[in-house]
Amino acid sequence: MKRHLLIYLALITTTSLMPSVSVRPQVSKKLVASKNVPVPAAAGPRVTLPSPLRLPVEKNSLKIAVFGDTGSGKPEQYEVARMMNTYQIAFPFDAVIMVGDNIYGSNKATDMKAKFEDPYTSLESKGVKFYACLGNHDSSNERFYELFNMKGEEYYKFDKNGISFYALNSTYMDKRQLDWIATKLAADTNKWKIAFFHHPPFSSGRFHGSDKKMREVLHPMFIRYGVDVVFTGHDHIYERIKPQDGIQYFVTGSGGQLRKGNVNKSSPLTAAYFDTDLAFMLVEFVKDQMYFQTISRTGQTVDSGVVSRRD
Amino acid sequence: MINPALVGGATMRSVSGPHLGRRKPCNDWLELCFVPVRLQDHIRFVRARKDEPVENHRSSPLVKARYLRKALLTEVFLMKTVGFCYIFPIILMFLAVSVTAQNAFTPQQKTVISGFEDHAKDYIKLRERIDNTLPNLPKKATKEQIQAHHDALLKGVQHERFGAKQGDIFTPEASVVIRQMIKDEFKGRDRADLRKRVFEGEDTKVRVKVNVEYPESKEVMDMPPQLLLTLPQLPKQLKYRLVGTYLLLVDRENEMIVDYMTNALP
Repeated sequence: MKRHLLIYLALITTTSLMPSVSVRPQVSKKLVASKNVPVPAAAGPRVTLPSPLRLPVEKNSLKIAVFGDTGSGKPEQYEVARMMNTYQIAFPFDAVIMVGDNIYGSNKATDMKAKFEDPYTSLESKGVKFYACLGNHDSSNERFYELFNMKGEEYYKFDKNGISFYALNSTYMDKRQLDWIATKLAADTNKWKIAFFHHPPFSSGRFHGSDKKMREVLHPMFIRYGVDVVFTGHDHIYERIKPQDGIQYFVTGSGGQLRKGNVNKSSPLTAAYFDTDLAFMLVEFVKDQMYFQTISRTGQTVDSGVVSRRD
Repeated sequence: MINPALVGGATMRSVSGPHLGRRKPCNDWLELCFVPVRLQDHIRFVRARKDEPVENHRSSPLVKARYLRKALLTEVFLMKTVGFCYIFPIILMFLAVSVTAQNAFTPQQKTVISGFEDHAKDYIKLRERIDNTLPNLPKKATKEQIQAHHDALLKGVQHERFGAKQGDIFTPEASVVIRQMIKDEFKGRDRADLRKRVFEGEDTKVRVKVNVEYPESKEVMDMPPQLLLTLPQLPKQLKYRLVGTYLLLVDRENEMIVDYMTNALP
């Protein structure tokens, strides 16, 4: 009985029920651990860094920082902010991507000051722009906040150096937003397409883990429209996921809070992880390569490498 | 190998048809040795006489049993193969029809849903009226501007909707239809996953009341995309929110609970 059922199901799935999604040929992404190519802080002024910069640090490249789950207002958030400031001198990034949970708890004007403005004052004063997306602890009103550069929208797109960045609201992924993503991605002619949002479609965090519902709706769209890299948070850890259908996913939810030892060590998804301290990412785009270096609260390099753009 | 010469010239007689089933006296001790294996020989005999008419060798109960078993197996096989070929597509068609029927609303249900949408739009009209009296909130606002706008809008709407009660938008009829929509969409494992997700959140202890601001210090459970694609689409200013078994309608800007329905979860 079982055999017949299986034959039938196989027959039906292969003929009629298979979705006709055209998937681009998968391009394997070489993640090269660049431990053997230490690069000194070349572009910025002289500064003593706890660990050397490994990115190319080229003059005209796009340099950004990425972190998430920051807005706790706790001392560790401030410590991460100070370390970012130190690295910004040597690696002059001019944009920071925030992957949600920008303000925990109350979000009155005083909270915005204590949980966002105060920790990052020195970065803001250097002209660094923050681009936020909403997490499950954020108020929808944060989209109007001038320092989050969300243009009054819960999901939006911005371009930098010919690279497209899509900020999505994974807390409320309705039809309106899904249509918007599909339309924007389909019309996008930029070479690099980067998406960032809060809930990770792939994560080895024990507390939340992979958001499979999010994966079901977003991952096929990312494959179809050529999204290269996805930054997420929610799990308070750092994790580099093994490339999924050619797309590189990161979980960077330890910018202000940490769930120590929360990574499932036996997870088949993990390419690299860091769950013993808070961390942020430095990212540099040089032509068809995206270099990254992940720095801990104490300034140690905990992961680094390069991602090649999908063709 | 036993040499017949050594046993007093006795010959080993083959067990053949005419002896079977008869209690023939056998003096030869060698023949006695064959008695315990008579049943096997019986079978061998039946096999050897396959070419004979069926009636001849079906007389034995053992053979009858064998044939009956074979016949039954053949019947079952036929049922499994031929029957399955017809029955399985019929089951599939039935399932497809029932799924389509679930997604397609009856005219009465459509009226109820459009009534729900109209009630939601009425709220938006009221809200817009109040919003228009307030200083415009720029797309790049200061934190003070945001808070002032939030507070003023909340106060204005609460005042205007004084006396609003549960069920104004989620009418009993709309609740029944929406409850059914969720139930149809979330079955088996999906249903268990949804419940697990909802009850894991820290917002389950939120006090749900119409015209009251959702506590800003609480986290918000992310709405499963599958559910949002199922529910009736709302105006941009409103959103759904699940809190325990409640389904809430919340204003995006002033975070006020506009209405809610109970027992939304399947």
